[in-house]
Amino acid sequence: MVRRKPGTLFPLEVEILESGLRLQREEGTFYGFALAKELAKEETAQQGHSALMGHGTLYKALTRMAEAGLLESVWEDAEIAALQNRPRRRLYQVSGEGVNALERERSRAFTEQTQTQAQPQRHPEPGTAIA
Amino acid sequence: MTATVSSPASRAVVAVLVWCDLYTRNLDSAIAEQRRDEIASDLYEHSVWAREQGHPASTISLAIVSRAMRGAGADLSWRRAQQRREALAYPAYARQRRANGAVSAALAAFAFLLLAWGTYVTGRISATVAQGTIEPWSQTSAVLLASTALAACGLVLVLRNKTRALGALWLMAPTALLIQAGLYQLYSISVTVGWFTLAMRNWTFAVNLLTAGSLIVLLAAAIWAWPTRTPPRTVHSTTTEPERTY
Repeated sequence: MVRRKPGTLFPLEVEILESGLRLQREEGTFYGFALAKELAKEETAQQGHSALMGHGTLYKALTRMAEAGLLESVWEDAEIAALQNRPRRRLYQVSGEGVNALERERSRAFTEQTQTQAQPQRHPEPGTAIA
Repeated sequence: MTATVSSPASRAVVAVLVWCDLYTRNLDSAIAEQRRDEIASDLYEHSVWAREQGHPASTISLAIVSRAMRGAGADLSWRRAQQRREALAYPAYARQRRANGAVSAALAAFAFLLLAWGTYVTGRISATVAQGTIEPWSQTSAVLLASTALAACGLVLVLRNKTRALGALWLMAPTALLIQAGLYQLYSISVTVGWFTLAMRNWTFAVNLLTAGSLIVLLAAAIWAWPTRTPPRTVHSTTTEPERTY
């Protein structure tokens, strides 16, 4: 099992928060399959190909994030689902805590990237003899 | 709520729901129901979306099964996490469940061994009858055949939670008959059993002790597995105050 550094997010959690916020801006809330589609769309844009995420991976992450307070969840009104003749959805929203965690993660990643770029080059100057 | 799913890839959907039933089995009922409902909703949405995209039923089935298989490891890991949480919240319940699991496994193993023994003895008798050494349909072989059938029924009963106690009681009859009658029958057709019977002074006592011991263990297992009312466990819902553990 992969252990995380305290206060950091897994890459999957970052992707879920980013995709969730995009869906949230359009629809107000998002549900599992909508998120799976959005994640696949994002992956296709980056890598050219993708598959919908496995049920277990997706819902385990969503449960963990809801328990950690990064997401808030509520079950859709059964009457609405019944009117549309489909199973009710579990609707998620990225919480304030989730937005803060994402911002912290972005800033941490940015700092790490800047530090890596600022490190002096270890490659020898051209023409320098190697002992 | 258990959602009904209408989809072109209904067999794949049913397979995934069965898998979901399996890995949510014996978990807190509210947690398990929420997971099943969420998966049912996902499967429905996936089927409808894929149909709208014009995907053929076979492709939809494949995609659904593929998603289930890719997530199976995470499903099991989620189940373990839920069990750990229950064990922390209800240590006595967790201990009892482990003990129940051990009793169930021991009962199933016993029933399987009894069935294997009955099948072996019946097979030896059939082979000997085929050679013409003994007459077919003796009283002992009829008893052995009936007892083996009873042991098979007993195995089915002990594999189910609801009928485990009945299964343990049921197995007492074939146990009493199969050990005694099986060894009696093998005495005449097996060199090994014949040798043991003649060479061991306390052979009969040992066989009786094995039979009586097995019957006592089965009775104890039946009492242990007897259905009782368990106090309802409180639901740990994710909508309650979340733990800040990320």
